[in-house]
Amino acid sequence: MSSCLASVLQGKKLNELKKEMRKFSLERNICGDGKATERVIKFIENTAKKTGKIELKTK
Amino acid sequence: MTKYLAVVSSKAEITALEEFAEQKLAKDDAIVLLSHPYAYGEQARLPGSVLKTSFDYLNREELVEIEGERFRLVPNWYKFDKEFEKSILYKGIQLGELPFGEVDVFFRENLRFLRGLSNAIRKENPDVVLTGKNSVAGSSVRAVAEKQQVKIIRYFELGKQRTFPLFPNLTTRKVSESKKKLSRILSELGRAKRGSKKTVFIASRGYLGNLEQELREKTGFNVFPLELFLLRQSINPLVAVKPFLNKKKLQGLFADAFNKYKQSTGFRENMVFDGVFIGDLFEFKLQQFALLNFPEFVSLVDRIDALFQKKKPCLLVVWSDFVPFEKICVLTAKKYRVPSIAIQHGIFPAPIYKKAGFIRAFAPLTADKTAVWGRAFKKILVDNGVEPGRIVVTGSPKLDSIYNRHFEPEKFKQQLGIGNKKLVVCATQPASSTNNPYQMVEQVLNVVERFPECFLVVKPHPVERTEKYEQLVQRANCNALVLQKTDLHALLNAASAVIIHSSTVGFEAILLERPVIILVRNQKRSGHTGKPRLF
Repeated sequence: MSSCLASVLQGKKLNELKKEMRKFSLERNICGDGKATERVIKFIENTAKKTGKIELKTK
Repeated sequence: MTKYLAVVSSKAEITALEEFAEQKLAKDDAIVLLSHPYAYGEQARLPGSVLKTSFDYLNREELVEIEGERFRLVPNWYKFDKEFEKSILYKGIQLGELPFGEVDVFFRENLRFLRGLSNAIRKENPDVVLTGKNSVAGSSVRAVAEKQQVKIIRYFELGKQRTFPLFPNLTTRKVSESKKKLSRILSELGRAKRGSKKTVFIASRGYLGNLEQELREKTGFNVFPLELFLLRQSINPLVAVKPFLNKKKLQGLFADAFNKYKQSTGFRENMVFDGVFIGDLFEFKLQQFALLNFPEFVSLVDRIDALFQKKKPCLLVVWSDFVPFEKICVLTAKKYRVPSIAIQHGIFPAPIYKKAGFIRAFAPLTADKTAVWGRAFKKILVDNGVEPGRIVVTGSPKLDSIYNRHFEPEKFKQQLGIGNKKLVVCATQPASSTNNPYQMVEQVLNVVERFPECFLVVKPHPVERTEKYEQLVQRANCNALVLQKTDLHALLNAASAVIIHSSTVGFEAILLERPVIILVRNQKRSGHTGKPRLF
């Protein structure tokens, strides 16, 4: 761990690492555009729209 | 020369062991100390002893085999007797499902410990096993003693065991934390739009970024934070005391039900691991459930039911449908046909779970739908039996701030008082299946000591208590502090390196393009490949 931390702190291979990281997040298909909250709100609105009048009757 | 194997699961046992060592241990005696996860982080002053955990005596094949037993026991722990299963069904909600997380941790830690203990006895071949009389470690030793032909067991008297708090929500710490949260939520509510027609219930507990606030500001919904409901009840003594008026009766009922369950054939035949009966080991949990958890669950079911009747929500949004409070909300929503959405709050991993169809905190899904961070996560859920139509890919509201904000790392470091030193962040994960977080922090502190130009911030997981980490930091000879409640993204952005074992924090650091060091206890055992991947 010591040598690993030393190399990271010296910035060695940092660009290479950054490339790997970008690739990693793309591979995982993360919606990394900062608009997730917007999408979740839209999803909530659409789901709530379909709900209609709540009568709270048990199944 | 006598060879001892000391088996401990609490601070009290360690203290008793230290006294024993001081008074009775001869110079040429040898002592191996095997620590149960419940005693992780406790320090033992035993010169010449070797500290071990069950992982030191387990190989990967055994770990995989134990997982199979864990998945057999966890979802079925209350199902081994039909009468018992029926007796803990309350208002259509199966109370046995609610402490799923706690039961999971219990079996994961104890099954590994039992196998590790058996292996340790075989490998070390001690003359004497030392352990506590009424402790989890002691029960484990008793469970395996006959099969492993332990020569002599010597029990420590530990005095009165831990009792459960009478009012768990009214401890000084909880009340103080609750008041702070309540004042924040109330100030947000003060800005809520009026004239809203539909009510959305939301339980975010800080895991969903600005979702709650934006939902309130940008839509016509009346957004009702369930956290507020919970907090109001927790800090108002009149309301908080109410369930306890009925508590004695409920405790009696559950204690009777659990006692009958323990005697049932189904329980005795199924609570078996490695050929030994483990029901006695489970006794402590059952006692906790009967005296503390189940009466509280009943009270929560009643209160949430009444809340649904009163507010008539059109939708329920939760950060997880796995923990008791949120699960009760989701099950109540189902009962009243109110749709529910669970939003992914962290990373979920591990191909090992594929066969089990079980991902702790994520699957099986109880809510109607779930919103996930990306297609890869959708695939993992589908692989674990969640129908694709119930999964929507949205991205993570929590991670939005990484892309939308301007960071000032130097200013942040000044605020922390670390000046120009290089910031190293170490994030812990108590739920990790292959790691002792205290041992990990200790190792990191030892390494950072060699880098005087560095400042270490230990960032415990939000559910952890910080005391043990603070003790470790105080003892260490380096620049370090423990910060649990902080602006995580600002902290990570200012870091020169981020060290994790198994944590979403590592993922967030990667998105911030910070170098991440993943500590792997044993590459072969944990399955890590050494390449960047989902942890």
